[in-house]
Amino acid sequence: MNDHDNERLAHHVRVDLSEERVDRLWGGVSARLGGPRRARGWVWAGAALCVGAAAVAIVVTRGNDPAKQGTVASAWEGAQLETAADALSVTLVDGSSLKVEPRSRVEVGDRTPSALKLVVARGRIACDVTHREGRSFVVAAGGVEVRVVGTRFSVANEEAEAGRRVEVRVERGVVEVRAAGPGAEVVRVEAGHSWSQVTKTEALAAPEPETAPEVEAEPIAPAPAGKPHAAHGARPAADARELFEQARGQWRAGHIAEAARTYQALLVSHPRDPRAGLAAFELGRLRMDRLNDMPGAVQALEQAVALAPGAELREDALARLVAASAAAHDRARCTRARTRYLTDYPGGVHHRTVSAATCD
Amino acid sequence: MGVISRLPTRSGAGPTDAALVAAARAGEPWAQEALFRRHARMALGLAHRLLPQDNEVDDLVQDCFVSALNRLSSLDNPQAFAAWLGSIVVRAVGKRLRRRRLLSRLGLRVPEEIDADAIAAPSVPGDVAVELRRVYAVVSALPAQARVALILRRVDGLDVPEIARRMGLSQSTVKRRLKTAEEQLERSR
Repeated sequence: MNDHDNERLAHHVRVDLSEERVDRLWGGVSARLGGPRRARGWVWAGAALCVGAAAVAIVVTRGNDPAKQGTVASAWEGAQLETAADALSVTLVDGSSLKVEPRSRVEVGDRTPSALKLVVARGRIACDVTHREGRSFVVAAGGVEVRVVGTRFSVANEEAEAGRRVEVRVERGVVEVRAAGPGAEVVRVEAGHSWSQVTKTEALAAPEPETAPEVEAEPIAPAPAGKPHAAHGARPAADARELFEQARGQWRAGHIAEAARTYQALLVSHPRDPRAGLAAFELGRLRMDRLNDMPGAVQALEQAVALAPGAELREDALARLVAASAAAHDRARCTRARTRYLTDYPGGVHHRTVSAATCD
Repeated sequence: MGVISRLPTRSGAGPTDAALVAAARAGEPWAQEALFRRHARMALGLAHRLLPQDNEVDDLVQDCFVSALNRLSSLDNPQAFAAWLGSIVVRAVGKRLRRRRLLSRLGLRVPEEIDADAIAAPSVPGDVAVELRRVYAVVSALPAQARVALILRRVDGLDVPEIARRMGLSQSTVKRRLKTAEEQLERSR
């Protein structure tokens, strides 16, 4: 084969170049950048995780010994499993396994000799619970309780537009879900099904900062001089760098709606800043994946395509724009974005997904 | 923060690599992330072609980015970030292959097995699939430098001077390594 053919060979090697993988890799890289202060943070986070994992193990190990109940309580009470960019897997001594997804916090709640309760303060936990006669395993999130006998399921407690959204997905077995609120019904959720409930912020077990009305998606324009921006959690005079870092911090802390508002504030007040492209892309991702705000995601992703600080980011943004506008039933935008993607990136990593997207 | 130039890029907008490197050197995390997102797929693809079906590729790519982003001050030509990162990946792979070879000789590691049939993406033209199979059927038996040189030449389509730059070797050494690899490839026909 000649050189021209050889150049083509590299493009035919099977490689997973998905956005999820790139995200995961960036999580690992960013955690290792930033010098001593961040390194110390990880040491403390790691120590906290070890203590948390040990505490969970203690709870289960001693769960069948009522005589030890009093002494064990102080060891595990209030223990937390908290993750940053990476997921954490914990195997309990009875063979049950817990996977705490990135940017999640799970607390060990009440416990009796015959029960173990975990509270998902934010994020998602996936549980594969080994059946043990006489022991109940409960996962709580935002006032919702999931009672388990022996099954595989996950519970998420995530920020939504109207408050927080708790979602339960069952992969195997059956769970009983008691919804939040007085007199709430108990629902059985079987394998292959999911259940969700949006609760207002004040109804949550884990209190969140008071939320301001969501900033409506608006065309980007510089903020009028001297007029403070309405975005909650973003100081009006903050520069683009500060806003960007603030948004990242809010995202890492699980305050998704706040992070979205801060990115929006950055886009409104600093539309020509070099961070604007990345901010628009991140805003699009948050609205699409976490806030279920498809029209808002479409708007942010269109900005990201226009401002993208790199061809790859623009490609990702354009592919997401197809999906978001399809989900928003915006047929014209979807068709336009799909045509644009297929024209600009004929061998793109999202080519198959975009080709298969239904805009009708 | 330094001034970010707004020269056109391949995407038509946004700062150049040189501007991002300048901002990253000044300690701007967003610029580090922008550099990562711009070049992550290039680095992943390159590492995968050199270490196919290897579960250490993610670790290797992360190591390379951490190393690159921490050593930006040593980059003479900031606009050449991509090529520089590529050479970091190539050298890291070479180092890893040499270590593995040593461990295999000591009986501390199971020799690598590459499923050459699974290398090509689905719907690849027949002649391309055959060529990829041929190359990857022999690479695990080659010494580290010969393997890297062969893949960069046959799969990535780089010329000898570029391979030499990426590998940090002289052109004559690269030619010798390629000769070894090509002979092995010829014998496999």
